Amino acid sequence: MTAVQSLPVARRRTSRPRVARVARPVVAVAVLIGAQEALTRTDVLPAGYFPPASEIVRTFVGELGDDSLGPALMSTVRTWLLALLVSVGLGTAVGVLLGLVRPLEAFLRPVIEFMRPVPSVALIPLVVLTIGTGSGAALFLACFAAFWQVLVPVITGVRSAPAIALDTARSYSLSTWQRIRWIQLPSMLPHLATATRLAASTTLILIVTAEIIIQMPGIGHEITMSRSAGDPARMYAYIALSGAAGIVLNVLVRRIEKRLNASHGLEGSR
Amino acid sequence: MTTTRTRRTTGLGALLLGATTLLTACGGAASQENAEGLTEVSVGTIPAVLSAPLFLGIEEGIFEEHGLDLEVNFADGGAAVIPSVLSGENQFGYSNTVSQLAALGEGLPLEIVHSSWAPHAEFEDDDHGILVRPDSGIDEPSGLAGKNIAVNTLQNIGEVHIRKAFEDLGIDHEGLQWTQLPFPDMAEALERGDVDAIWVSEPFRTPAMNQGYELLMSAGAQAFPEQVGGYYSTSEQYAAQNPDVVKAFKEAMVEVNDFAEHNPDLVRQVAVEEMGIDEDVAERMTLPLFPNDDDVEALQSYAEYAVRFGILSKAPEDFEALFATQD
Amino acid sequence: MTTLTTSVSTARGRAVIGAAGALTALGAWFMLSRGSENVYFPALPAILDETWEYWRTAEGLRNLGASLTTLSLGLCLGIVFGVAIGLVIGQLTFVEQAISPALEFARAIPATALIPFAMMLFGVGDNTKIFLIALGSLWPVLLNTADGARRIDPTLRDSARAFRIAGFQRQAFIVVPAVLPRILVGIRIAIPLGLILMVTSEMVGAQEGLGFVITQAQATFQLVTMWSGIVVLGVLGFSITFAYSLLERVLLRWSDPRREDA
Repeated sequence: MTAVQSLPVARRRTSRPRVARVARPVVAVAVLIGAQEALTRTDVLPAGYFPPASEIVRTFVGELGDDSLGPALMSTVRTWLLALLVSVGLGTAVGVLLGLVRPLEAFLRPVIEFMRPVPSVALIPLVVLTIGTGSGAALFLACFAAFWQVLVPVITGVRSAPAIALDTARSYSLSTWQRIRWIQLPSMLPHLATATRLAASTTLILIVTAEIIIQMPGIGHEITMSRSAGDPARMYAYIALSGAAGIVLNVLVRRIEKRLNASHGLEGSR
Repeated sequence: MTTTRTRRTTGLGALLLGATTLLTACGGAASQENAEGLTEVSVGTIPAVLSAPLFLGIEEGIFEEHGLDLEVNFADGGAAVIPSVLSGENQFGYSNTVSQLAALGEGLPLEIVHSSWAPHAEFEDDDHGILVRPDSGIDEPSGLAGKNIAVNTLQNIGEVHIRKAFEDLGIDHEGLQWTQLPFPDMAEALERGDVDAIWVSEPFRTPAMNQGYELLMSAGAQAFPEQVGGYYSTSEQYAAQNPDVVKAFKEAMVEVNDFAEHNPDLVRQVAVEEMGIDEDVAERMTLPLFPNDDDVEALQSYAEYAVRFGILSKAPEDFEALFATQD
Repeated sequence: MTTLTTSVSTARGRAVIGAAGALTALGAWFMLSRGSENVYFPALPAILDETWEYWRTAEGLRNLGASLTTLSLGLCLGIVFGVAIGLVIGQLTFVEQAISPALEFARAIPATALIPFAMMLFGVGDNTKIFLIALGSLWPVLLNTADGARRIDPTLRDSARAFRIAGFQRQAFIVVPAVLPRILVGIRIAIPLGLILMVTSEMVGAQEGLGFVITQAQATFQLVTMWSGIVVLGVLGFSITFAYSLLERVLLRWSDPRREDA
């Protein structure tokens, strides 16, 4: 380790009070929104394409009371949850197997490396023909994409058991099964946690994409419909909703991740 | 340490759940009967005026008389309907003649059940039209040579109609450019100048004309007047397992088309009620013909021209065999 | 069994087993699909034939070229803007504090949800694609650059100040090389994202490109062509990712020769 890499980063702490630190983002956001409002109302940004922020908010509130927002959101979230569970479940199962059986992993590695970068959206036409245009199609696409993202870190994680732990296991004559259960699987957990977070965002993107392209009910579908109907305010409202959903789901997954890490005494890692 | 175990159980459970979902998503071919003893069938179709007779048939109880409880599912374009029929999502589906021929030519297990619509012989009466901007300087069809025309699906019926129409009129169609746009987006694209002309169908034709765009010609009326432009079809699998239902659907459609032909006002009314079409537009839009035509000649003609124009790579061999029921 | 386990521990052993795996997979696909009557899963030889045929024609090359051009342009734009904005955010704390929530929100929006937005602005065509690819690939680059810029070794910072190196020189000769590893990580994440956006935007709002060919082939039920498009896309994705990993290794070694490979 060279000297350049060994120093921890010292952050210059401002002595400004907390109020100021919260005020900055609030002020910034207010300025941005205000600017957008001004620019669109004075037609610098064409109002046909950029309705004023106040109108977008109004439309959004209107949608809350309307019949389409709830079902669309539920539809997207439901498919997302299922896709996440399936891809993480499958990815972990296969990843553990491959992590433990090295020859098998070496055998399959080229296949994995080839299938991994295939954009699963390329399979949309095939999926539409075989599975149809329902949520099964979106589920398959999302799972296909997220599976690889879980698989590779899990394989790495299973292998990443510290050598000392393995030596200790050997000196205590732990059986293979015990070694797997108590050492290798737990060492996989932090990797799995990160992978789950990645999978969560990938599945969301793919489901929204499927909704847009295959016209499945959901947030993505509402976005496209709004554009076709010539209602940009509604389109932005739903785009904002997708962003909000993304944030909320991300926070939820992070909480679970933290809980998992904490239960293994790996607080604050990654 | 229960976490690892719980995690594995969750994973396994999710696996089973996922597998079950996937399996149920793959459609089955058994027919469903509802409480009143009627067979439930769903028909996939596009939100265009040619679908109105279906709703009329439901309203007038014609399908019920034939033992069918019909549900209509809208899809974006004919190309999306055929896969839904093949996968069992819908038992029957509408697609235009060219789409049907494309699928059949490629060997997909589809069977034609009944005719849906046909263009009129007079082009003012037809439900499709080619529109241009009044200031475009294009006054006659010949002015369209080499221009950019918007169609709702590339390499499909729009192109076949237009190319044959041009050929009939002696206009060169080789230089034509095509842009794919959904019908609702066409007027805007024409206004912006993204395209020079739009090939548009009711219920979008009348509003576009109301906006001042000029009707130049109706390609369908010119090219394939009174020849069936679209069919309802079903999957080979469904037809083999439920021949009575297919027969019932066909017989019901004969009545439905007849009824629609003789009651155009009811067609307009149901278009407003069930399809969300604006009342004003429904009043003024033109309706296509709703024929009961099992003639293979139209099919053969379409196939011939489609192959000639390079839109289809191969035509089916035995046209008679494409129909589900031979009476 | 022991020979198998030992052979896996050498790099050469792994390569050999891997090659065997690849060949087996391809062979299996070949054999299983050879007599295929199934319309949806045509025989591999037919697919390969078609791939060789179609994608060398003028039309095929045009579509391929269109895809690659828009992908490159979009990625370049995304990288340039991502690095520029990332450097600003990473080094100016007050900007970061102010913009952070808005940035988090914008980032959470799934890039593909913006397709209708892009189509509204640019209509059907190349600009929509480039805009989307740039927008999507911007985020990973931006976030990683900002993170890297934030963590520049204080020794470097202090040395720069001591030697009175400031402004553009400082950015170009001190900051950027220091942040380069993180930038490269960001680009590595951005590339598959760019690919996805390229294919998706071609499926919806374009008249040219790989995604367009695949979708059109499906609409006209020319399944062999559709599969050939999928194969080409897979090969493309793999090649680009592989080529980039080589590039990344070279660049990292050049920027800091003392560094061990991450």
